[in-house]
Amino acid sequence: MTWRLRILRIFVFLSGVAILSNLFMLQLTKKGERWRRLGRSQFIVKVKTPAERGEIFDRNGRPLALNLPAIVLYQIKDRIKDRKGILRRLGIRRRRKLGRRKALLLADGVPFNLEDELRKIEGLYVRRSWGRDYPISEAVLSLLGFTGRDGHGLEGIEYSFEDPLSGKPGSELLLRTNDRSYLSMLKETPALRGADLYLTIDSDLEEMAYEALKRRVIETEARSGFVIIMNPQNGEILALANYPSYPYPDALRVPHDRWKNRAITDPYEPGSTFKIVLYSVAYEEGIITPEDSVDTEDGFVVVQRHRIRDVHKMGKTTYREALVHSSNVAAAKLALEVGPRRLYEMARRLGFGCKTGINLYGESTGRLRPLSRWKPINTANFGMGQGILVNGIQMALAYSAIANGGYLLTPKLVKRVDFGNKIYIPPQRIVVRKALSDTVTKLLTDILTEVVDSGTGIAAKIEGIKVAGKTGTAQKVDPQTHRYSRDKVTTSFIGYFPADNPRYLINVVIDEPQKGRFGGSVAAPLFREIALKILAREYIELAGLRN
Amino acid sequence: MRFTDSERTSYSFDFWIIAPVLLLLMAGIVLVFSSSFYWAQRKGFNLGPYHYLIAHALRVAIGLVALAIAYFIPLKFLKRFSGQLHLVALALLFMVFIIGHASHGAKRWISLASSFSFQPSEIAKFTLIIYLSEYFARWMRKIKEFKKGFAIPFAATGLTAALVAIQPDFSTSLLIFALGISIMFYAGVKIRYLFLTGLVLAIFSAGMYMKVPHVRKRVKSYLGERENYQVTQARIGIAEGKLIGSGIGRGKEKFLYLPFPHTDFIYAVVAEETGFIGASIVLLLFMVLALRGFRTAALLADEPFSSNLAFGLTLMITLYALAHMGVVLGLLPTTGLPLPFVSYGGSALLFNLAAVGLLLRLSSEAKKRETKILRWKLSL
Repeated sequence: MTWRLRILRIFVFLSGVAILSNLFMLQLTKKGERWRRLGRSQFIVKVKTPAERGEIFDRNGRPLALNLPAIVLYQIKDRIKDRKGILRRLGIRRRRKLGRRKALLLADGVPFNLEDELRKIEGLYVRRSWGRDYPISEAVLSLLGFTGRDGHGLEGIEYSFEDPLSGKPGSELLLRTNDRSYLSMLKETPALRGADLYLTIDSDLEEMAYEALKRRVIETEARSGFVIIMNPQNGEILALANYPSYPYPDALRVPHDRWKNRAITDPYEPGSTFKIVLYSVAYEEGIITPEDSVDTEDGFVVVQRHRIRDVHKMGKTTYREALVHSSNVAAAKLALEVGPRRLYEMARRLGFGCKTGINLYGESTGRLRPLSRWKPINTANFGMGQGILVNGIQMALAYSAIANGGYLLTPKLVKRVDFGNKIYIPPQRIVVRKALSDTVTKLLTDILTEVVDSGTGIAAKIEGIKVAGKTGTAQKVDPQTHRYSRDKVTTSFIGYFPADNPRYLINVVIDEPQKGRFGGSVAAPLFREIALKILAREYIELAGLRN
Repeated sequence: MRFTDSERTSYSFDFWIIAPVLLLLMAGIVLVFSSSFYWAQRKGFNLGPYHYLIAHALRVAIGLVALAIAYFIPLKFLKRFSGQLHLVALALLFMVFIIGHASHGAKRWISLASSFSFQPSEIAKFTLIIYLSEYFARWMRKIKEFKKGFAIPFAATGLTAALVAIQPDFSTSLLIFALGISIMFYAGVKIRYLFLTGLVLAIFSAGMYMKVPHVRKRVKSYLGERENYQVTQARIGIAEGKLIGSGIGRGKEKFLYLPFPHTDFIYAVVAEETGFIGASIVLLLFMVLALRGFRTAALLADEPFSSNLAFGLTLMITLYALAHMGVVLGLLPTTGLPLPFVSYGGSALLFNLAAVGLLLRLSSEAKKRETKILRWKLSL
């Protein structure tokens, strides 16, 4: 062998060694890890699989929010032919906004039965999803809220309970080709379905209350109104209806302001319904007894140059009568006698000025004037429910305390959360504190019964059953002048029945009625209508049980 | 193995040449199918995923026929017509510019029928080896002279390489050039002259780099100045292979990540699907082939034409194999070179197998000679 051939043989040999050592480095040492990592990032894609959202039911298992299977349609750019034709043939409406990305959202909420047909079409990516359906959406809209296009809750319970409802999305690790097809699944983590929510709401009561409210607001040409029905014994909210409201899909086209849950988000000046705070202190502290006399003078009293009026002149009367007929003069005088500190403390004891703990996003705390800034006129006004802001639930809870023997409760909205593998049941009732003594609650119930029997709340009177309640007519502050308006009022009626063992408490608030301007004439009849229907339903149920 | 004195009837097959080639061919059929089925399916050929498998198997069959023909062609015939054969090849290279068709931006092919086309550069490479072998056998005595020993063979090599270069096909051109120079080196041309060619090559390369944008791009990416997609993908595939590979058919790079997985980057698929073991076996097979070919050349030392030819043909196969692997591993600038016997591809496969046919013939000649010498020694 010549030396020239030897040199060439060495060259070939060395090249072979170079190739082998490179193979070794890439395949068998740590150096290759960089490339393998790069490879994983391009070969393997993680696709999220959506979790089915939990459904929402009322206390009797009747559906409030359901899932409907639907299809979301994507197009894969440059692979679809005759897009328009396909959509027209299947009767699918294309979404208007199309982005510039490769995979475009083409349509959502496509009926489920088209799936097989759509899957056959090249260039379409078909994904299963769910649409949300609300069987009684109009009545519960403000309470329940709704979900957006991406399936997340945007309002109400759907938003506030997003966590348990949404479940946990699963994922799929897929082996991918470079032309966006999938070869095989490497690993699947199944999605965890969201929890089903069983509310304390009774959908019958809800619908009935909503219909009655709607009719009443329209009749009185009011701006808005709401009704809260709850069980004063355990704080369960049985119905919470707001008007105006809209059926679900239409609500999206209306400003949020028009259908929000005013009962919790919009605090209002309660007016006379708030007088129970004043009387609670007075009786608890033994400052007066109901039979003590009070002089309401000529129907007005002047405090710091502000004139506080009564609707009817009452002259000399007792405190019991003064509350039954809702005398402002008596309330103002008593308030000044009780003094700011004790009034303020009782208001706090009854839960005003702080959140009730209802599990809804956007609850307002209401507003109590800080004690340091109270002048006599503020004290007088406070006694009769002006110059303070409360929300509807706070009011209902304060009255519940009177109804249930003095216990301030936490409102209850959820009866049961069904996680599939385990069920969570919230405590029967959560007591915040014992706010009033038994004797005072008995006394107040007694007087409130009289309010309905022969006082301002006579429009709520129901034959054969003892109803306790109180009317309220609050002047509203004109947002322009920042003074109390002459004609704009918030009328309300809050009451419970049967008075000796209350099962239902109803808070009715109607804002700015044009026809009628007193709680007794605007709100009390609505209370009575709803109460009657509740009783009728109870009667039917009892009769049904007997058969 | 049978042996008689009669030259006509004494045929033998060198196991260490034919075995690696057959193994590589078999591996090639499997890997061409593995690396091309998805691409073929996506392309929508009549035969679906089997398109390249069947086409490749057909080419292998034709190539084996070419191997047999080359084996039986009398060496005297090649020797007699070597110049004419190379002239025909050069004529075909000219024809490419007139009737050739382009693919991937270069005119390299001549079509005979709608489905069959070939690259004249493959023929030219082959005939250049025969021509140079014959030339140096004829002018052995004047090999140290400048004109006979350097200028003429260098001109022949340069012309062939230049014709290929302007197609343009720089990598093949460079390989043809390297091949020519190597044969000149092996035949015994003065080292001094060969350094001169090194200079020419350097000027030529610099010119390419300046003038041709895609050469510049390739070289830049080779030097690490820009990310090279193909090399990145090849490296990912190789790294994925680890020791034993992902298994044949189970690689991921061929799913349209790696370009030309069944031709120019098939070694990456080898490394991915059969791992370090498979990739080094393929390398080893080429090494065995190279050493055996060089040994044949050495044994035929007193028969210059045969020796030069054995050396040239062996080096042709070896250089291609090494260059292909080097490109795939990113050791050389990216270019499209098939891996002999393994890659899908018509003309290259055909002429590589023809080269093997000739090598087998030469090896059997060498064996005869060896036996004769042995007998002669024994008879002493």
